[in-house]
Amino acid sequence: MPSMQPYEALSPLAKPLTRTIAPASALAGLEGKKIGFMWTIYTNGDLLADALMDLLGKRFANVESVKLPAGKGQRWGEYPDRSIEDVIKESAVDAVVVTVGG
Amino acid sequence: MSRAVVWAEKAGIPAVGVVCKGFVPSALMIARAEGLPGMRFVEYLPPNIATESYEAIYEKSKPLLDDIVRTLTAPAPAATPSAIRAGAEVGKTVVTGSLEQVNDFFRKSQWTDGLPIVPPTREAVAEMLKFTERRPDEVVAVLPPENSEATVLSVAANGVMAGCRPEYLPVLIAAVEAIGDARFGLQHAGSTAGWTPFIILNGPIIKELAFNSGQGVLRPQRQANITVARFLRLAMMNLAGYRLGSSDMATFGLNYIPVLAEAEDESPYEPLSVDRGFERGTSVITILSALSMSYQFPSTGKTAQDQLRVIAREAKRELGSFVRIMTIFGPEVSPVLCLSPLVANILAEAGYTKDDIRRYIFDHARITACEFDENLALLWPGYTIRQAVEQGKLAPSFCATHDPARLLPLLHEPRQLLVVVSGSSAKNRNFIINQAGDQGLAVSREIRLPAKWGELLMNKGSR
Repeated sequence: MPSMQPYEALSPLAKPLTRTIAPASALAGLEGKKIGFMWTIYTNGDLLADALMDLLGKRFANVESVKLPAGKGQRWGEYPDRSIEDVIKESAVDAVVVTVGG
Repeated sequence: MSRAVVWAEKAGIPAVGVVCKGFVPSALMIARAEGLPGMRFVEYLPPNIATESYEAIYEKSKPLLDDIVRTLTAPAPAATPSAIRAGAEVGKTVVTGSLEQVNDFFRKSQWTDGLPIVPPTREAVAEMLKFTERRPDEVVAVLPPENSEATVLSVAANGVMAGCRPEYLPVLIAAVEAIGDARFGLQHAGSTAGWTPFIILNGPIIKELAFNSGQGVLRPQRQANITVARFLRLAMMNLAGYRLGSSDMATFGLNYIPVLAEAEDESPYEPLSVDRGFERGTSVITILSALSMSYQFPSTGKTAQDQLRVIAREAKRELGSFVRIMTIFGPEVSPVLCLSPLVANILAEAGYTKDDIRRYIFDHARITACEFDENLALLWPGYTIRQAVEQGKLAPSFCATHDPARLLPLLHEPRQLLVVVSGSSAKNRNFIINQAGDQGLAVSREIRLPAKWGELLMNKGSR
């Protein structure tokens, strides 16, 4: 189906919102820190969090691991919610590890 | 997962996401869209974690912990740029050439569904824009997962590409508004479940734009039904950012389904739009996720009760595995029962209202608690109705007794079943749409028309 007519086609894309947050500073080390674990959904993400928490405790005697919900009013293993920021501030953790299942 | 990492970083706390290999592009795209172009992450290696034992997961976690410690004690990684968007600003000419050259360019840019597109030229887009009073640069919705601003102009461009007639624009705008509603949960449309949007149309717009609401309604033949559905697929790619392998992680996926226009003249019931709170006579689009569509089953029998018995049996068959959805992706769900006008009239003549139909299905399409538990265990080994009730995901009535043979409903409440009437008036067939709960929950939007709609249609020769 050859066509000789030239077409000037416009972009079909939408404009991405431009917003950037500054990444948090890295930890100097994990010794003496409190680490939050979040399982945000799907099968076995909880087992992965359990395994990592256990291993972390064996590696660092003075590291505290806590399970955190992924938002205010959320249960362990539910979708993340923007209120994660509040959960993190209230829990006073130094870092967060987020797991997801398959 | 990515969103949790981003929101944690926003709180000033370093966060690392454990991403299953294969999902890294998707995770980074979501993080970038949420404002963190360089996300801390570590990779969980195959096979899929859902298929592994705790012991296997534990072994794989040992080296993973080293990666996590290293990642949390190092600066955040450099930003990952989007390869798709370079030089493709909204409203800019991106290619000039023949039909074949334009199609090649769009296909290579991953802006098509694989079928040839109609080039969205400035002229074609301008013709479509005549059918709205909204400014071309007006933002219709911000669409996840890319969190991009879909403007009236970008909606029109995708409408042209899909083969829509210019006068379809008000429907297209309403469709984008619907999927942009937070309740729809568009951010889940790339899940491995691979669902596709299902579109239902009500109101005078059906006749005005010549949608098929009768025999063969879901066949790809009538221009309005199929191109509006195709538009929505293109919009999900180009306006929302869903692309196979990076953000669309469908295991198999589903093709788009032509718009289901309700056969309002043949139906004995108020249309779905009225059930959804709109005045009769309002043009309304309703969009929801379709995980699957049942076969078009015949409902036979001499009485309405006989018909309902068959429909309930098929609802049980189709929604029997739906209990996983209603439990973890609830509490709101919106599956669809579509009756042919013939069946709807048999039920109405016997005195059954839509509420009666919903109640009958709720009461009779049931599975045993044992089957329910077997389904829940597919979510997480050992997960049971009792745990779901304790977590507030199912009502206490689901655990009223301990009898494994007790029968349990496939909906939280009868009202959750959407009932529509469409298709051939001559056949006693029906189908059911299995819906994905808060992943694509039904959202309805009024289709707003320009003041000179009638005149515009007349000039276009659509009436």
